[in-house]
Amino acid sequence: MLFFPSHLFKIRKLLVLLLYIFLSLYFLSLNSDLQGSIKNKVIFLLSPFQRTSAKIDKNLAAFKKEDFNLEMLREQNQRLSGKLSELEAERHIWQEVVQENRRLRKLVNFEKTGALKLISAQVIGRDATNWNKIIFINKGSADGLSRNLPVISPKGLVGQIIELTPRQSKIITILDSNSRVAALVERNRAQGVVCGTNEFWCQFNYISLREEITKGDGIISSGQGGIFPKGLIIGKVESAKKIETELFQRIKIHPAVNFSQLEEVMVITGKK
Amino acid sequence: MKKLSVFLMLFIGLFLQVTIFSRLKVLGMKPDLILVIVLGIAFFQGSYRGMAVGFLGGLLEDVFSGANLGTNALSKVLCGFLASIVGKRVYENIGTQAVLILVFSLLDRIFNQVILFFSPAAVSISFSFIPQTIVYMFYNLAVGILIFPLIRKITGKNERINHA
Repeated sequence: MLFFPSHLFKIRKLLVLLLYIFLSLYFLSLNSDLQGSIKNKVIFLLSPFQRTSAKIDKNLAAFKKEDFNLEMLREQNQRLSGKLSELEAERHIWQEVVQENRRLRKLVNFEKTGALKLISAQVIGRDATNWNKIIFINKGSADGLSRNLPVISPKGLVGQIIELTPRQSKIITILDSNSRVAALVERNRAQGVVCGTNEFWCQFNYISLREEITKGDGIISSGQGGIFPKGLIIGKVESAKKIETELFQRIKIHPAVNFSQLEEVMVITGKK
Repeated sequence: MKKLSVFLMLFIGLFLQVTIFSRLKVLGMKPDLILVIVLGIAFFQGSYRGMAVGFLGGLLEDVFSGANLGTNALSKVLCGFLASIVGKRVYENIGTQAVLILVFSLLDRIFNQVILFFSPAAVSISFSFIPQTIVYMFYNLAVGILIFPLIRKITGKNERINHA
């Protein structure tokens, strides 16, 4: 301070501010691949911290449930519930397959739908901000995962992998406003796109006014788009509004998955 | 040593934010510990450190979120800078600090929304932007009141530097 007169000091302060603003804008201007690789490197470097905090978080949650002292039972339970989750997810798929078979019997040529290959993973973190609906899981490219693989839970569709490091992956959930899933109504097969809203519900877009959609209708993935296999449960219709001046209905969906309590997920790596 | 404590505080804040506080959401909102730390540093330590911590903390938030790199860095740098300007007059008064936490939480939301609006992955205004913002402001206030004394203890008393 001794060598800086007050006005020079203010100028220096403003220059530092401008430098930070410039740096922020520079980062913002980078293309998404470059941004992704920088993020992955930082996440990789900080992954020990994240895993430790995830463990603490899990232990706290376990403490809350008063089962922290039953370590062995919990481990066993965890293994079994992982297996059960996989089986339950498979059961949902099979239900859809049964329905599909009924329709296909009417046709001469039909395709076989195979069971899915699943890899279980644990949720180790969530979005640091309130602006996106992202989760982190403890499996990455070293476990055979890759970008765009769909992620499910026993209750339904969770989202897809958008970035990954060898031991960790970032998943965009169906609640995120950048998420889009091709979907259909289970009952009448009306097709549309499920879009995230950054809230606890999704919108089901592009359903024409002619379609009859009622509260409680099940919404499943349609398999179009090539990322999500057909038949994954997305949620149920909470409300459907028809406004005559609009081309499409306004449909609100309540997701099948409770994202705030999501602890374990499964990544679909292919078909058996 | 002090710099190391500030780094440590940022990391702890970030990881609390992505884990424990993600379970403690109110109306879908969790507090922004990084913002609270940035404000604390800006109030007690002045603009240079406020901006530096804002930039670093914001970048960390960007890495651990779906946002583009630079989104939170920019909004936190602006908050750090502005907080240091008003903070030098009020940093002794807890009541005023509380009001400023509310004001800067609102500003952070607005800065973020504006930046996101112009970013490639444009995020439209959430359906419950206003109620969520109110929850966010008061949640940050509650956390701020709890951790400001800690920030002050870690960074040192009456050591506001570089205020012009």
